[in-house]
Amino acid sequence: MKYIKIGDIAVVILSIFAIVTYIRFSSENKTDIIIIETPTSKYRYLSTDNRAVIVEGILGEISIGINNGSVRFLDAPCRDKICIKAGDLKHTPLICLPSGVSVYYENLKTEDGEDIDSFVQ
Amino acid sequence: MYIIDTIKNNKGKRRIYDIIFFAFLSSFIAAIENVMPRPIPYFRIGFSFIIIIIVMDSFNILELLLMIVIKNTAVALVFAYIFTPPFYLGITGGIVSVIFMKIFRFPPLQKVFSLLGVSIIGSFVSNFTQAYISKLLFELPSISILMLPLMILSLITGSVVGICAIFLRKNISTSI
Repeated sequence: MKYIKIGDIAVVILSIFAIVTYIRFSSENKTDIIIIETPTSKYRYLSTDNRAVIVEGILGEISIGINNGSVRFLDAPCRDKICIKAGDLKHTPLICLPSGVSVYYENLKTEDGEDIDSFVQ
Repeated sequence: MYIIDTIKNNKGKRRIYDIIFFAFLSSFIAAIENVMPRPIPYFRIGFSFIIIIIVMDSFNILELLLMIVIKNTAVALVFAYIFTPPFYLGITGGIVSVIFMKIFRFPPLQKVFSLLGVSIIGSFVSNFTQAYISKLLFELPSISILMLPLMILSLITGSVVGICAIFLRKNISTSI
C-alpha cells in the first residue's frame, strides 16, 4: 500500500462518484421517442412504431429498424459493421462513428418540462 | 543505482538515444496491442503508456511529447493508418494526456499522486480528448452518449496501466 497515495484514492473515488452521478441523472425512463441524429438531420420516431428507416450518414445510407421500442442497425456502409453486430437495442444509445449517426431515446416533454400524454405525427 | 535515475543524468547524444529507445519500446508494445484480438472493438488497454509513465520523471515535457509523437507515428506507419482519423485521435489523446500527467508529477504533487493516480488521470484525459476530436472529425451531433462507457473504461484501463507501471518500476533495478 506504500505505493498508493492519498491523491490516487481521491482520483478513484471521484471517478466512481462521477460514474454513479452520471448514471443517476441519466437513468430516467427515457423511452418515448427514438431520436436518430445524422450530421445534417434529426429524426424522431415513437418507440411504439414498427418501421425501417433509411438515413444519410457521412459514408452513405444507413438502414435502421424500429420494432416495439427496440432499435437495430440493419445495414451500414462502415467497414467493421459494429453497429450491426450490436443487434437489438432497447433503451440503450448507439453511435456509428464512421457514419456520424447516433440513436438515442428521449422522453416526450413540453417546454415546461411536463410529460405529454400522446404524440401525433 | 536505478536505471530511471541514471537516465535523468544523461545529456547530449545519450539523452537523445534514450528518448528514441523508450519511444520505440513503447511503439513495439503498441504494435503488439494492435495485432492482438480485441473482444470489444477499438478497445485497447494502452499498455504502451506503461513505458511513458515509468520514465515520466526522467524526461522533461518536451522530451515526453517527442516520445509520444515518435510512438504514434511509428505505429501508424507500420499499420498504414498515418494521417487518418485514428492517427489524429491517438496523437492528440497522447499529447494532451502526457501534458496532464506531467503536471501531476511535478515535485509538490508527487507526494500526493503516485503513478496509479497519474495513469488514471491520463486515461481520462486521453479518452475524453479523443471523444472530442471524434466529434470534430466526424461531425458528430453529440458525444454525451459516449460519456458513461468512456468514464468506466478510463477508470479500468488507467488503473491497470498504473498498477503495471508501479510494479515494473519497482522491479527495474540495475546498474549500468
